[in-house]
Amino acid sequence: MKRLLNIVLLVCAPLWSLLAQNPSQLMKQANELYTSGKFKEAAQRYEAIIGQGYTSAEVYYNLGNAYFKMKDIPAAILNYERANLLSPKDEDIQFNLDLARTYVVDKIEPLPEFMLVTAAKNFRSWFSSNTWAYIAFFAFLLVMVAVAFYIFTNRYTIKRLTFAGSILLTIVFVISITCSISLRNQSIQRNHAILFAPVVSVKSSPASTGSDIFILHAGTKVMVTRSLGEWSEIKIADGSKGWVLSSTFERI
Amino acid sequence: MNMSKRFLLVAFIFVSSIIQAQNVQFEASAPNMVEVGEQFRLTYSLNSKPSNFNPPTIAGFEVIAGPSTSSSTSIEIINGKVTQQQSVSYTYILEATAVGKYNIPPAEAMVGKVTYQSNPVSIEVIKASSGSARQANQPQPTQPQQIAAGEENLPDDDLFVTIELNRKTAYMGEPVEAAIKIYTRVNILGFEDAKFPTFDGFWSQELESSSNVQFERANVNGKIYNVGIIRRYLLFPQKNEKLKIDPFELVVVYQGNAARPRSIFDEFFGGGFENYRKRLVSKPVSVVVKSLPQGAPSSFYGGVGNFKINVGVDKNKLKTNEAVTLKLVVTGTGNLKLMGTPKVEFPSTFEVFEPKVSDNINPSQQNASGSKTFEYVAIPRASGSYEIGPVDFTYFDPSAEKYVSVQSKTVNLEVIPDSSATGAVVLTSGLSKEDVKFIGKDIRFIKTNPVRLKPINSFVVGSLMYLFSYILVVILFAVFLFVFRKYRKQIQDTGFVRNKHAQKIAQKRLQVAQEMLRLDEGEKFYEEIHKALWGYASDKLNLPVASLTTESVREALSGKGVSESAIDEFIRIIEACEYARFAPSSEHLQLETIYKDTYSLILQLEENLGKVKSRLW
Repeated sequence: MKRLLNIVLLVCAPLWSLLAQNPSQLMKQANELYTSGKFKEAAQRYEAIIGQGYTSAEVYYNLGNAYFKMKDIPAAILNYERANLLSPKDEDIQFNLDLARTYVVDKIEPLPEFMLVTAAKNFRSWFSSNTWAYIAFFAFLLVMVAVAFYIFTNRYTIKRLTFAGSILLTIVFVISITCSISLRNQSIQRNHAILFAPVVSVKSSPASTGSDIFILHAGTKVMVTRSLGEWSEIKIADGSKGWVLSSTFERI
Repeated sequence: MNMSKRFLLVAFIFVSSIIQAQNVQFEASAPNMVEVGEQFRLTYSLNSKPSNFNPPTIAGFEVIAGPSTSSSTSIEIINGKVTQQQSVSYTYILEATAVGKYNIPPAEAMVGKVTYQSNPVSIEVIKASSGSARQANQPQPTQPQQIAAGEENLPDDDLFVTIELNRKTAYMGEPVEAAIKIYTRVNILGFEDAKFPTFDGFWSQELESSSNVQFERANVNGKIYNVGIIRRYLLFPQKNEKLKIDPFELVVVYQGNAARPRSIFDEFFGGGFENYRKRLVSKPVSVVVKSLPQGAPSSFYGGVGNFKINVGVDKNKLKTNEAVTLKLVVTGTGNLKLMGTPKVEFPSTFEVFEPKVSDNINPSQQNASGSKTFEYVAIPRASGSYEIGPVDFTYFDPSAEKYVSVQSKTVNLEVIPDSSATGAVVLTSGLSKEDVKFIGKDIRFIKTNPVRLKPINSFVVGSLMYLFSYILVVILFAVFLFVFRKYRKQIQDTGFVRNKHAQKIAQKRLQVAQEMLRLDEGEKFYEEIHKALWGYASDKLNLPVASLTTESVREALSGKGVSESAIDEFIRIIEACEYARFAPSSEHLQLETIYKDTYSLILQLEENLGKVKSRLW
């Protein structure tokens, strides 16, 4: 009996230690493991950090790298995408994501996006949601200051300047708060997903009796438009829609 | 007739003759080949009326009739614009008498004051055969006749099609010209259902020809045929064997003698003919393709024919990392289109891209001539002086049956360092773009810098703290607004301001007065004291200085509840100052006392008038 307890303790001890450790210590440890080529162990530690409720673009990025080295392309893409959401401008993340995507079987011609939409998305990804929020707050503060100046000054030039400034700052505020909220919603809503099942036949209706419309492979990014029971309606980049089992994908 | 009118007339004649001169066409026409004993027409046609027609001497033929003149005039009026067309023709009917080749010299005609010459005509006369060819280019019957279902028993050699090749043996890639021709001795009405050969084993190119089949007379085995070329092709053999060309098939509708016995009336009224249909199939032909001889040099790129090459660059001096275009132009005749891309050796520091190939080929009767241009874009990655070429180019000359090598001249390039480039980017040889990509095909390393871990989904926006800070800002703003409003109101109340500052100003004046006292400047001292008191009263009572008199001040001060003694003191000092200012300077005695009195007076007044404060706050 005592022996059994010992065995249980022995098995559980590392797990317990994983849970008990400080996230930044874990991170350091995981990076060392990755560097020495122990990708599986490194991945476990990165997952543990996330399991403790902590995150950063770097954790996802490193985890994606570990999965990539383990040849688990869908998991790598998923984590790169998550990292990309948190840090849209990071060049390394983008590079590795693009590289990982080349291993995906499905080649989907994306629907041409309206130029302004692309520009807006690009603009939005300049900063993270929080940075946008701080910019918005700062802009709001400045608007108040400008309005105060406008009200209390007697000098015409200052009045004019502060009037123009307050309008400009209001625009900055509105844009920043919009960007911040939309980035936050993007992360919270988790509309996009990565397919994990090796081959998925996309059905015309949310039932196994539905006829197959097209076939997708693991690693493909899809957009989840709605869910019904254990089925979800997905949309791929070229605009095609269909139903798949929710268990075949993982939301970003 | 005066001078100007005459001039006009001359000018008109001159101009009209020029117009005529531009339009005059004078042509002679006759068949190019006739049989002995055949009668034929020789027609001179002119599109304006000549004043004189001078016929040529017709030797070797017997003139049976002619010249018969016919002329026609047509006048067109289109939108009031009158166009007149005139044509005159002189027709001879000649008969050939002896075998030979005859030339009829040009005829001359005079239109206006200019003499025109027709083209000379050459006619070949051959021995008479059993039947003579009918004019194929005769005017066709105006009435469309029923096409007979049956077939006339027409001998095969009266109507046939052929595929004629200009050579039976050819080297690979050597062009062979194939002409599909129709030979006829009957009157052809039309063609149907043509089936052209596919030319398997050849790369074929159709040569330009007129859409209408033009007939010409030709002598085949002593018989005169009307020969028309239906299509012409240039064939480049692609296979090293005997290549067969599929036969050409064509259905011809022609006019032949009526099958039923002819009545004399039919013949008289031009009847007795019927239309027939016949399917013609050409005899199969083949080309023996010889393979090119062994031992082709490495600079042979499959060119068969006769070529020249020319190499040039768009610039001789350039900077590193700047593109240079090397143009290699192959001109000549032969299978240009099928030729491979010549290899140009660039120095190893040059990055060379796939050449752009364009051709400009003009297919002619015998061969395809033209040029093919290869544009190589290269980028030097290192500076220096380079020599490109000479470029070797070998082609096979089928007529000489050997390989011919030509060499271009060398091209010199001067590459100077690019000052704007960051560091020397030297691309070592054999490392093309693709190689770099292949080597770099791994993910980037993990991020090892210390990171700030945040709880998942910790967003500032939407959090309570964030919202609260906004509310805080708004509250602060509101408070600020309220405070400033009040302050502003006070600022706007000038009386209050004056009142508030009155003591300060008076104090300053007194300080100046004290200074004067020290310097013993009596006059200036009184002035300052005077100003201090008047200014103080003016500010405190919110009255303009100009309207201040001792009476008004007394009234106002007593209205404010200032004691009578203080008012008396005020007026006493004012008067003392006024007196002292205009009195001789020696009487400046009690300066010290005046200063002290003024000081205490202001203090006292301040005490009495200071109550105003409470009214405002």
